Amino acid sequence: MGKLVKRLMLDDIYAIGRNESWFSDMAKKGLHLKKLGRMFVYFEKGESKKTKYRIDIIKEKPSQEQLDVYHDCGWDIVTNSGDFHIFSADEKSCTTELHTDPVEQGFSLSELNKRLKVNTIIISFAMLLFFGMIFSIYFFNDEPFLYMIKGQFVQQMLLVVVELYVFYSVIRNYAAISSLKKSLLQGKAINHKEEYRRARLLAGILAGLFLPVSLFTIFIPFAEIARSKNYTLPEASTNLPVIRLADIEQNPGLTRETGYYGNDVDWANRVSFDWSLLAPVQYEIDERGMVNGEMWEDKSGEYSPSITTRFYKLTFRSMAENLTLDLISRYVYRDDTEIKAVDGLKLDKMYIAEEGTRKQIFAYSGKQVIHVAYYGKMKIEDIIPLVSEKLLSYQE
Amino acid sequence: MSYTGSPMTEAMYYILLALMNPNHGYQLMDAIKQVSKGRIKMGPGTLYGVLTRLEKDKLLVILNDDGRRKTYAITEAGTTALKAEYKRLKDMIQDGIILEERL
Repeated sequence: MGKLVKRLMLDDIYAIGRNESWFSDMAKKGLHLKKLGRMFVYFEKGESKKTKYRIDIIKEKPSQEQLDVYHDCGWDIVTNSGDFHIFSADEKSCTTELHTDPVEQGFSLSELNKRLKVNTIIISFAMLLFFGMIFSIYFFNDEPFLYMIKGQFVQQMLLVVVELYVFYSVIRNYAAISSLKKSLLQGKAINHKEEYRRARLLAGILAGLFLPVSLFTIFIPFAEIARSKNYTLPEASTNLPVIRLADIEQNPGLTRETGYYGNDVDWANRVSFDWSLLAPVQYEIDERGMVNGEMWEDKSGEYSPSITTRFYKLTFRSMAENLTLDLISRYVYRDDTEIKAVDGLKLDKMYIAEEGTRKQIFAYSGKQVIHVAYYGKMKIEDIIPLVSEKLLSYQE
Repeated sequence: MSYTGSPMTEAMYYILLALMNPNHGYQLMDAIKQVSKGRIKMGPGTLYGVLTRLEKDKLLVILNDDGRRKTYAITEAGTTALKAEYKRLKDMIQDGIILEERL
């Protein structure tokens, strides 16, 4: 046996005339068809030969008797891929053509044609559902930008591309078989020498574009998970983009109040880092403190201020404003809360919102967005400079 | 596509005709050549395509299948269809007789 050589299939199996013509040209180059895979076609290296190839769609596995009849007529089975059976014959021998009646051959495609039609209908519904889903996620979402940077926006868009490509393939195959059937029923035999180079090239280019996209799509969530981390906020000062309770409270009596411990992380004093393509730096940092002997103003208990800092570094500057507005929409709970813009700062924009002891600051500058939610007695005016400075000075 | 009484393809007509005597697929080829006096050389793909279709449409049955060979025979429905087609063709020839006078 000669050496096996593999070539990318590229074209659709459904393009019968083109594939027959391609296999014949390969045989001329001494590469004789051996096996059909999903991705690759295997050829055996040998002498150059003039060989005719015919692809016959046979639903049931051909019996030995049937193969004997084909053999007696000069046709030997080479391989099959599902219902697609490939026969070859020496170009020089005067064999009877495999199919002598185009109309009958057209009938033989009926079942396949019906199956592909059903496929097309099913996938059309699935696509409709899929697009409706994607659309509703962004259209009916109150905070689409927040969702975009947090969620798998890029992956979802790539998935849309992948789905479209699959959809296109299904339709293309159905169209190919449907038009082949039509032309056979009109008595036109298959062109066994159909030009195949252009179709192979185009399919190759498309696959070349599509494959990296789909690989990328698979890879993104892994990258997101791999880069995501949770750990306890150190009590000492850090280089994190965070506003510390100690800086706000300015009270030597302030101590840390620990919360629920899970996976070795104090969830009340926690640094959570996430990565996504649209926001490669995402911090959510919680801190909770307690001042012994001091009470809340309403005497509801011991004074225990807490703070959450959210910090984002975006890939695109243009998303900063929208993300800030989404954060406001997401974290200002009451509808009647007044949201005030703070002017006279070096950063691009800052908004504040006060709801009793819950004081929030939202700001962005360039690609960086910060959100601080503070529960405590201190005045919001005293926190503004801290936030402004942290936003402007933070470097990774 | 089930047979609805529309004109038969040549292949279908000759296969049904050859099957008036039950036969193996293997010998059908020769039988068709004989019955058509060598005029019809049917491709094996066409032969088995038609056999599969006619069996599905119940115009023929497999009398015997020993795993290696299948024996096909025409059914009553097949005979009726064949006779109807024969009559249609005969009528067509009859109608075409005027051509003889012109030749």
